[in-house]
Amino acid sequence: MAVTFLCIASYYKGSQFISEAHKAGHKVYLITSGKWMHKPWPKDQIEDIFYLDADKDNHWNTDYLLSGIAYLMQTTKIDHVIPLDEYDLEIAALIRETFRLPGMGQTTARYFRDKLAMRMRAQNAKIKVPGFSSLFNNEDIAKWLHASEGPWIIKPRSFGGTIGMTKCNTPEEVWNKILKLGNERKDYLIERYIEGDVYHADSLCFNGKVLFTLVSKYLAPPYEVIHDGGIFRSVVIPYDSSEEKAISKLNEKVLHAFGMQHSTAHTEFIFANDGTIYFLETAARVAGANISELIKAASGLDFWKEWVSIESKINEKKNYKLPKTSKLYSGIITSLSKQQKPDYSFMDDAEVVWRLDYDYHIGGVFRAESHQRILDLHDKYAVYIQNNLLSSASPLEKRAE
Amino acid sequence: MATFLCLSSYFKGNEFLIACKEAGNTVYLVTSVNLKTKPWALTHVDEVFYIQQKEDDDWNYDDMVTGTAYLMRTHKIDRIVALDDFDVEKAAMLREIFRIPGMGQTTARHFRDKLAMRMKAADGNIRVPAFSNLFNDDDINDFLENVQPPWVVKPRGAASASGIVKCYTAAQAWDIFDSLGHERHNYLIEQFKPGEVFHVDTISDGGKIAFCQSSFYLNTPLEVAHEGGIFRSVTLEYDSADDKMLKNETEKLMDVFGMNFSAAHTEFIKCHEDGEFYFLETASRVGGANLSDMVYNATGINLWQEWANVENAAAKNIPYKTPKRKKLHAGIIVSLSRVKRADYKEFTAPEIQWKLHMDHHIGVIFQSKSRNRVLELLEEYTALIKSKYHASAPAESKPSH
Repeated sequence: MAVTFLCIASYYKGSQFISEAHKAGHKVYLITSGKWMHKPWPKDQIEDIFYLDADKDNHWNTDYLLSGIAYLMQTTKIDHVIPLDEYDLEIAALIRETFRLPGMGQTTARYFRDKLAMRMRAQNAKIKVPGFSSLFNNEDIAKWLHASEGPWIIKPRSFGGTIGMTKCNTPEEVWNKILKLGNERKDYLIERYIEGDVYHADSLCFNGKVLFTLVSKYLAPPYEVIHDGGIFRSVVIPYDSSEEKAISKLNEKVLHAFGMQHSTAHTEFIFANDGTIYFLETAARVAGANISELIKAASGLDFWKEWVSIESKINEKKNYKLPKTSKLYSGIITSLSKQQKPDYSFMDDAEVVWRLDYDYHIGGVFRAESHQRILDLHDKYAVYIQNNLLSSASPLEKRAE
Repeated sequence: MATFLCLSSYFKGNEFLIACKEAGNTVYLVTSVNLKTKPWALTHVDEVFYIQQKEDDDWNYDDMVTGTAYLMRTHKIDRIVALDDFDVEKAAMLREIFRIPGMGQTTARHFRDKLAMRMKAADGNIRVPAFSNLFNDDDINDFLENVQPPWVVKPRGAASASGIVKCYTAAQAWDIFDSLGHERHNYLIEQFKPGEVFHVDTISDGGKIAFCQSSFYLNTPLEVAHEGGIFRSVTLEYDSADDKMLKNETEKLMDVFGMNFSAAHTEFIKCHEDGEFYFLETASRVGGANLSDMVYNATGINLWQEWANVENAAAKNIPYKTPKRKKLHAGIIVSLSRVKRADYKEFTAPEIQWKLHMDHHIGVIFQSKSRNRVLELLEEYTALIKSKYHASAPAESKPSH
């Protein structure tokens, strides 16, 4: 049965979803910002594209947006609203609630977008999180700082990635930062900066059940990569290892507590140096940074395709069945490159299954039956990139992309 | 001691403020600048914040959020209470932003958006009159073809019988839709079912109904608003079949809608055609038009006070106990009056327990052990009011309170 999807993309993102939906015989309408008009959207696979002008903060006027959708709906029935970028989750929830469409509503969407809401929810569900505080009340903050141990990190409640984070080592630094935030301070939170290895669990969920989870580990935490211009690396961790079992279990607990019904999810955990696993954050989307390629190499699952399948099964009121998966190991490495079109001949091992094709970037995904082989390849490529290609740009420049 | 932030964009809820303060709480009131001169119970309010209204009478949400953030820097807020129906969304938004417990945005829609409440009720197997959203032309035509007229077109999100238009033919209906223009999606159409309208006034505590009183409008709200009728209501015979049925249906509804702690006012229609009860609408507030005074005279329970007590118990995490209720009967009659200030000299029945003192209005409440006596008095005094006082005003095109 053909499903009509209304895809929302405030960034140029998620073309894979559109293509997979088109391949499966569904109809796709796309709403994006005028400034992405010239991006290579798969236009022949889209019924119609609507462009909205974003303000300087990349926000759309929601009145225009809702009026435009109301107009479209007069003649076209929409079955599902799909946010293609993390930033679009709230907008999609608003559209669903306004037009009474099925899927995640505004209250649940906050658990997947607002880092303060997710921490509070996790804590209520007895899931360990690094110590945190909202920045609402001066007395609360003072008490919390007094009882807590630095360094701390002040982060926005709802920007994706690690943009806008500030590390503070003393209470004075914290208060200065809070003063600087002014009226915006309610949109930030503070938490303890915890050292440890960061893991990500990527899942497929249907009817509130977690049907598939792949657990991987970042070889350098995202914070360091973005702020220090390092190399981004991740690797699937050994299946059935104690970490894998613990993180899978915790991941299910998180998604269940947050009310996840049907979607893909990307959830991060930190294995602190004190041996505790803390929940860091979650998002109801396919992981960014080409992690979907890492997942595909290890499991054979294309998360974009499965997401389309999950959404269409809900509409048909049929059960979604997970395809057969493989249990291989894979690794991903990406970095900025000082060469516009870097020479990939150093990455010619048989295990390499995907290469990043993007100006001034280098990257690949490799897969093997042995976890050790993936780690060896990681080291080999990282050393080469470090010595020959590495260049770094400031995080702000990157997000402007 | 807990701190309450009460929102009221209309002059109402003094009894709540008083009860809340008397329970030992800090009470802040947020209201509109143009209600500054109203006789608010300032002796029971710690501080009042006035919000400038926009042209459409609504508050500027940014001002409200920024103001709350500013207040919260030095004052912790435990509960946010919407005293008027129009404030339910605002309160839900503030709760979600500042992560304060209570009704969130998704649940608030079930109590504010008449389309959402119909869909939710139908999903929960609660009978509703046939209805359709006004999103899609084909869906609307299906409805007009398959559902017997007359129909009513009504706004999804306004809290009174005003703004409702009755129509008899598809051509009439389409004229109305066309006149709605861009606002069409904010309305719905439903079958007009002639019948008797009942109201159920409840107090919910932790998702359970702690108090419930069913009553019956002698004239439907639509007749009163549109035909200049006289507003009359009377309590139902206790433990009658209708009384039990309404209690059951209301319990089911509150459960399906996710009600937790609040007063609620819910309306059902008992259709002449099939004798069945159909859900009409609900609101998470005390019923307007002095119905709380009627309920008080029948039961000894003050809905405003008990609502404050439920919120107080929720804030302090202590158990709430409903006071012992009476099972008397009460009836209310309220009308617009040609006389500016009625002296009520002719209103001598000893059963009269309450008189309305409001310019160009006349109204009384009768109390008796016998329901028949109340009905008799309602007849007698309706005749008196009709002959000497009654005036009718045209229905307002914009919803009021």
